[in-house]
Amino acid sequence: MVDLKTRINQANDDALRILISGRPTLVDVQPAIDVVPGMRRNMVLHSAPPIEWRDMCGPHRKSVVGAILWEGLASTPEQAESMINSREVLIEPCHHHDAVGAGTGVTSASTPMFVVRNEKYGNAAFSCLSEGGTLNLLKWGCYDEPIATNLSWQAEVLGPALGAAVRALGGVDVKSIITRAVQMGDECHNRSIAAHGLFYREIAVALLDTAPDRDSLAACIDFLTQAEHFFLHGIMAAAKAILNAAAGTECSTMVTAMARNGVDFGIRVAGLGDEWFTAPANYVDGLYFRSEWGPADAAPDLGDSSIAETVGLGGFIQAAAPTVQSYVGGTMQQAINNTREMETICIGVNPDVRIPSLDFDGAPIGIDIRKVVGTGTTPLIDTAITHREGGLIGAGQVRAPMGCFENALRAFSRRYRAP
Amino acid sequence: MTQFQSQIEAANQATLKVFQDSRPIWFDVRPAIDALPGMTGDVILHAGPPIEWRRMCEPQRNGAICAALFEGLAGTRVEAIARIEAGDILLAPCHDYGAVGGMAGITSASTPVAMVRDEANESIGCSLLFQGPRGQLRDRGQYEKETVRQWRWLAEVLGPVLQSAVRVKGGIDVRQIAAKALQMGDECHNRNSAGSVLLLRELLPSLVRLRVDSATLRDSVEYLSRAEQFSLCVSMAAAKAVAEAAGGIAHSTIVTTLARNGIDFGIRVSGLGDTWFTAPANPVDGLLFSSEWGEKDTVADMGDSSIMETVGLGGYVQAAAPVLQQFVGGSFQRAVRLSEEMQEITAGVLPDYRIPNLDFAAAPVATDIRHVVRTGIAPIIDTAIAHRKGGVIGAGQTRAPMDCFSEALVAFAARYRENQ
Repeated sequence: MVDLKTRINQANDDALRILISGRPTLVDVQPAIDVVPGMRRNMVLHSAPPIEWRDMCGPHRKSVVGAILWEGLASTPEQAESMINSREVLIEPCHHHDAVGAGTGVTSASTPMFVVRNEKYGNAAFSCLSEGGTLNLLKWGCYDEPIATNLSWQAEVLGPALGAAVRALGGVDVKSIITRAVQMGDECHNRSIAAHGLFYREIAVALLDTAPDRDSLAACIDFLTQAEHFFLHGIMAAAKAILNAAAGTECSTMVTAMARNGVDFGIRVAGLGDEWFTAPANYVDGLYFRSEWGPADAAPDLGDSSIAETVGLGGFIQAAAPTVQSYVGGTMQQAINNTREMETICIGVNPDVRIPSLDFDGAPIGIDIRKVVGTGTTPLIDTAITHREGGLIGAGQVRAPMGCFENALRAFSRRYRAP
Repeated sequence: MTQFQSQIEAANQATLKVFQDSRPIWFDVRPAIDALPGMTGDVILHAGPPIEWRRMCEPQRNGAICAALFEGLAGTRVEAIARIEAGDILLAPCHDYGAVGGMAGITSASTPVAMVRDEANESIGCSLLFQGPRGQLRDRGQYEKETVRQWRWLAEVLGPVLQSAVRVKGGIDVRQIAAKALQMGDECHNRNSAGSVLLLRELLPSLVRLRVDSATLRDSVEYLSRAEQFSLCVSMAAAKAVAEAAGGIAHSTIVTTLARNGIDFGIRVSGLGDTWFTAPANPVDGLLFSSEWGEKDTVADMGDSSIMETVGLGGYVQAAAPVLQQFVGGSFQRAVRLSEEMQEITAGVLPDYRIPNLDFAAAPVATDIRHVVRTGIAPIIDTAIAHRKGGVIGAGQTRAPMDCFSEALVAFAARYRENQ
């Protein structure tokens, strides 16, 4: 009988190998209802972990109501709310549908989704398209006429054009984009400008052929030109596709999801199935985009975008993106120290994501809950700051709370030590 | 400080200010004949300092012959050579015509050039758009055919398309592109991946609104989305614009040109007008892209692209682009050291150009020939490696030869001390 420690280490090696060998390819853009498993017309998805309507943070409540109105399921916010309470509209986490959503992550039946297939393992994952770069978006807990118009345009024009372009290209290799973007100053969470540029360059030629007419083409190009971080959502779907392949690896202590709903921070662990382990979400330390905003205005940590850190990007590779330090008044040395610190809680390094300023050391990848609890170091997450009533108001960094890792480790012991 | 020294300091500060104030705007694309002052149909321009036909390196000789055939100045290679030797076709440096050219730098009347105006210094710089086919075409005949085919496409298709796009756009701020690219791992000489994407983003909204047929639009966008070094042409034109403005300041010991023709390395100094000071070009230390090539296949340092180092980019900001250390088996620490070394031979920094990896330290600029000679530190240049028969076959780094600087300093003393 092999001892538990050896079994865990072997399982973690397997889980890590699955992450590293994942081959995420963007294969299509389609409405959620047509591609997302379990999606229904009367369903709204949000960023995880699961949470009851009455407990949701301000941005979540506003986005969910907005999505119900945009879908035409209700005609007033009051009606939307009563449909939620009567369960005529179902609310579930994106993560329960192989999807991830930035910010409030609110995704409904008509939302156009990036479809990313993990070519190596055959599974797929999904993320809504980015709505663009302004401060007031559905994903930041806002909803009004211009937001609805933009969502409809994305569903009717941009989504179909991008889908056709992606299909015409025979898919877009997201892994290759991530590898190159990290050599161009992105950490692929708070900064994804290079990744988007590389995606943009690849998609532009195909769009010329697939856009239905010159006016639509110009509108799509204008949008993609201005939305500097548009492809973050493609990277998120890729990260989810990579991680899902490792979910359910028996006996592994590797984290397969980290997500925040503005109230709680939740993680999932490979050897512990679909269970969420939660603790109260921390507040984000960072830069507010206007002097009128401050910590009192901020909602706690929010969004599924920490899927980036779960796969060894974002806060784990700050040394690749010193520009992101400007949000926290940091230095290059601090960025390097942070990356080195994340190495201490990870199972291994990613040979395909290398950090130029560290002489091409591989990125730390595969968070081990044992190491997190053992070192007292929790994952560092680069992220946006959301206003408690909705709207993007800043960016910075935050730590995952230790509580979820301790809870997970206890559950792990119960499950695997039991006679 | 003696009066002479103060005169130099004041002149150098004035020169530095020209570099710092520069506001380059890419405003047009035109055939060289319509863009370059003094350009005529029988002139063929080349990179680097002036050089006689018989001393020219092979890529430049072949380029000049191709250009003569392309422009219809000769019907055959033999005729082209004869006309060049007879002086019917005039060879001259790009630099003498307000232009710069990457690698061989061959620019003739119908070559489309990017035109950049420095709004602050009211000067203009131009650069050809392309540097020839890749080096894998081993057969010279095939290589030349491909070169001419691409030149024709550039002159007839891409040049006019870019002209319209840039005009519709109303000019593109090159400084902003370079500043952003520096934050994205480019040093704006050997690495232009980010700059080229950023330029494509500037151009595409205008491109898709042009009244051109779908095939032309598609070919142009495809070209721009594949040309990883495209932004270098525009950056070089911008650098030439400011270098023009920085020239001719009496008493200034600041370098305003670094250029190579594959045989000689030449510099010009602000206080010494248009005089070139030359020394044999060094070989380039670097990585050849295929094992079939060796040192014997390469030419020495070539091209006007060192205009980028002249304005404080490229090798001077290597720490911004640690990826390039792979060409020379270096390290990030080495890149940092070289960037710091360049501070010792420069008069100041460019506050708009910052290096994220160095906690946003500003790029060193304005190479002072006195500092070069005193410290023995020659400018470091990131550059491509050309095959003897043409084509880029590698990339790496080299140093400017020290002799140009010592000669320039001797000339400077001769010129200015006499008048004391």
